[in-house]
Amino acid sequence: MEVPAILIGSLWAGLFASSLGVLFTAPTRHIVPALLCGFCGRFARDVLMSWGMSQNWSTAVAAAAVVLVAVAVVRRHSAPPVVLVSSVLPLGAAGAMFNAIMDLMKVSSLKGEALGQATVSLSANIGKAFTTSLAIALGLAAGLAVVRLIEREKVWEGV
Amino acid sequence: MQLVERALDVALIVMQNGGSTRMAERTFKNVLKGYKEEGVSATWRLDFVAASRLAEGRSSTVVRPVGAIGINLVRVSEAAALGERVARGEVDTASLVPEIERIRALAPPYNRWLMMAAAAFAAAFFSRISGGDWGGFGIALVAAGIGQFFRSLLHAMKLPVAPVTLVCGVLSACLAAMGLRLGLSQSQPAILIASVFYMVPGLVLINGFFDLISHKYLFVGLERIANAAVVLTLLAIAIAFAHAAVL
Repeated sequence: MEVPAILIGSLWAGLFASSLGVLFTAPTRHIVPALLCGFCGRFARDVLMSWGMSQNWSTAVAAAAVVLVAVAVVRRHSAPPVVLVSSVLPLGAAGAMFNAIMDLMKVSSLKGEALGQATVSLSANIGKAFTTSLAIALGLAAGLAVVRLIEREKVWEGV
Repeated sequence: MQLVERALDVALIVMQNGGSTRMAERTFKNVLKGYKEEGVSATWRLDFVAASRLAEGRSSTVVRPVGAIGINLVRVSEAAALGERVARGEVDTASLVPEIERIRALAPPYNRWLMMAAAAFAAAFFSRISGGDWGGFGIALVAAGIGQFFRSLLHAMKLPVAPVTLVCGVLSACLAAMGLRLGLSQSQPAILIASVFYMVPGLVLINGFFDLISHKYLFVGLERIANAAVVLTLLAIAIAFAHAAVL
């Protein structure tokens, strides 16, 4: 496990999440929680992947971890949507989405073997983008369910 | 129906400024609860909200257009807090209208320059997460910063969201593509995506998914996701254009 590389990647993710928080006009009290949640989410995902867990399961667990950290660090024991949104975006499959778009542009003009290769690449990238997004959604839902179970109150409040 | 209209005013602040539908409805109900208004139901859409009240065998309905939806989560937070204060009986009917006007007048918490810096650094940090090099960091920083600057100017001119997104997306992606063409970085996909990432409709998407999951707000959830899909398609077109025209 390359701990320094994971820590640096997580730091970028935390900074990215806090910048997104500002872009989403989150109140200033939510910027530091966004940084912490972004850091923890990426750290959890990378550590789990380095232990051999698949990318999708790691992403789902990391998204759940983001919820738990958000509830722990935000006052009122709530999970503000803006903190969650900012913090899970670093886990998204933006690269796969981009490649899928590029493949989509290519397939309309290709023929023969090149068309077959581009089609396979398009399917693979769409599949990766879909499963990663689904993993994030499931992880968030699982995290919120766990918090509801523990807190026995509505956690999806506040901004 | 006057109090129902005031409750709708507070709830609409939530909807118009990027809050979730669930929060808008909770705020609406809190205001009604505070003034002991009963028998009121509401229908939520992204283009209008309708509230109906049944009293003495007669039904009355108020319909309000939602209008343009922006992002100002400070207003959302204040509107939700106002709803809670009304529910606790801390705000009388005479004070409600001035409070609504005060919240409507609240400026975004961050000025144009800070938003520009946030967009620039979000793009730059994203390029590093996606495996970009330091050259790509610089390209994404400049491309997104300039794009966000023009975006804020175009928003100030009250132009519709779609053309603003397309113009700024093309501008940022072309700037990034020029940097790549000059050989400042070798991380092509990461930099091109990072340059337009500041316009990704993250809040709209997550609100849409949660509306969809709740079943109660299925239509408004679908509307939100369709809106986000349009924005994402425009960004994809911008990237594809820059890729074809510059690289």
